[in-house]
Amino acid sequence: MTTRPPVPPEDPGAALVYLDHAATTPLCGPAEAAIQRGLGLYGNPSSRHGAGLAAHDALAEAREQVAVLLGGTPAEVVFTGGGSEAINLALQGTFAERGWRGHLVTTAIEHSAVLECAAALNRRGVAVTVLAPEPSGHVDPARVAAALRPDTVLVSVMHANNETGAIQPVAEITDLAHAAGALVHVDAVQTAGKLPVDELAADLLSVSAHKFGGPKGVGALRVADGLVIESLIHGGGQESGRRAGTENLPGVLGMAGAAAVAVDALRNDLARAARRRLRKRLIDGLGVLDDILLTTTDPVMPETVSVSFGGVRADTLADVLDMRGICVSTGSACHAGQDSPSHVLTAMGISLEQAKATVRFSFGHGTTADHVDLAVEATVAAVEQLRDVRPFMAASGGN
Amino acid sequence: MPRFSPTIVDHFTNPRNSGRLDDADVRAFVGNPVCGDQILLTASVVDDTVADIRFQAFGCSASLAVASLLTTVLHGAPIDRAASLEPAEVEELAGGLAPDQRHVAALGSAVARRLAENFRQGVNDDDATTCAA
Repeated sequence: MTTRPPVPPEDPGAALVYLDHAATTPLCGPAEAAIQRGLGLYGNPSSRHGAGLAAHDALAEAREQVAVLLGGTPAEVVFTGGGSEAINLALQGTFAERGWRGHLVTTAIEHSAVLECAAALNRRGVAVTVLAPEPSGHVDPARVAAALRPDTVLVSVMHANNETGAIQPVAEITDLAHAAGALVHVDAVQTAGKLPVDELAADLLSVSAHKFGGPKGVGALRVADGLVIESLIHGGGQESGRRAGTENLPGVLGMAGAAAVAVDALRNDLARAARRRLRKRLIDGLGVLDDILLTTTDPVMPETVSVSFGGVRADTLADVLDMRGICVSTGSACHAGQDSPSHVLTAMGISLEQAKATVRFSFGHGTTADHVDLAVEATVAAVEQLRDVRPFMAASGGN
Repeated sequence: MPRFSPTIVDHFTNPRNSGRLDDADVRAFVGNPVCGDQILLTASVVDDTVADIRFQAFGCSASLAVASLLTTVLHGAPIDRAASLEPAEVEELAGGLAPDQRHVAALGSAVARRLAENFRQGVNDDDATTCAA
């Protein structure tokens, strides 16, 4: 019977340790400056006059910059209203163009934007195969090969998983799909700016600006030259007829500003090595706790660390950390008394209890060793506190 | 708007009376079968008054906070006070609960009332009983 020393109260002035970059990233300086510039370019890029031409030129410049990050030509870049729209355009646009017929292969660990889209396609008559991952969180290309059919139109797989960071064998899967005559969509929302995506041979590649230092509400789909997809939004024929609507110039310019920073960062081997050291520092620090489990194995993004803490509710742990100014994410949440465990973790075969005990730490450009140390210290203390207060009748017997 | 009331934040970050009384006179253990939240109360009772009380809990932040809050409400109070704690009063004592946290008021009420009932009947819970939250 113990009463632990009280936890230090929330200090509103404490520095925020933001370790949830897989959810979203702070706006980087160049992106913010570019947005400001875009706000001043009020002309419609489709207009013939000088104000319109200025906007048109800025849009073209931004498209070139985003194309450098994504690979391909500027003409292959379609700006969208975010990652989910890019994914919907890739999947729905592909099957709409083909009369909603054929077969889609995807995986059970995809983002809900893909899985819900696949379910919608299925309701329209498209055959859908959803592949289970290996326990490590990786998709086995052999499973993809076995699922391919003569009528397979598209294979959609993520570059790396948003919850575990597991890097998928997209190059191998792309080769297999292409050999079978199928198209490939890669959801690179989680990897653009962190892993090179420009050399991926996918026919369709979706990204979201706010995951790599850009603004929210803008994304892009790289559509291979010559591939025809049906637009989801019909109207004035913008984006070469693939996405109607006057372009979100501030957002697109902001995305281009972030893309420029991301391209430079991808060439910085020292920064990549530093990220791997941060990962090791976090994992080593948490290693003082017993009964913890890393949910995935290599290959994994160094920026994402997914850990299950036995005997602890992840949402409660995240609340403790939040009250200490440390932002992390959970693999599940309890809303109104209803559990909603992560579909990714459960697809990997992780038990419901472990899924509910899983926390995701994700690093970004501003993450330092001090941030990691603060997170480790707070997490270790919080896990010990939560475990200590948990009732275990068998441990003490009756009285 | 904050997700938690100042009272919930206070008890969650500075839990009072956590642990277990090994020589308790009464023990109540209640769980929510839907989300798995559990609260265990152990108390010593002298002259029908709660002389000492401890909690252990597993669940969401609000559950842990309410468990701590219950011990402060019941410590030094007549055991019948526990029998009278309705969910609405628990919610009020907690400084308000968001709609997705209200199941915690039912759990808090259930374990408090269970404590009084167990004391009157001279029984203890070895496993979590379920509340209707």
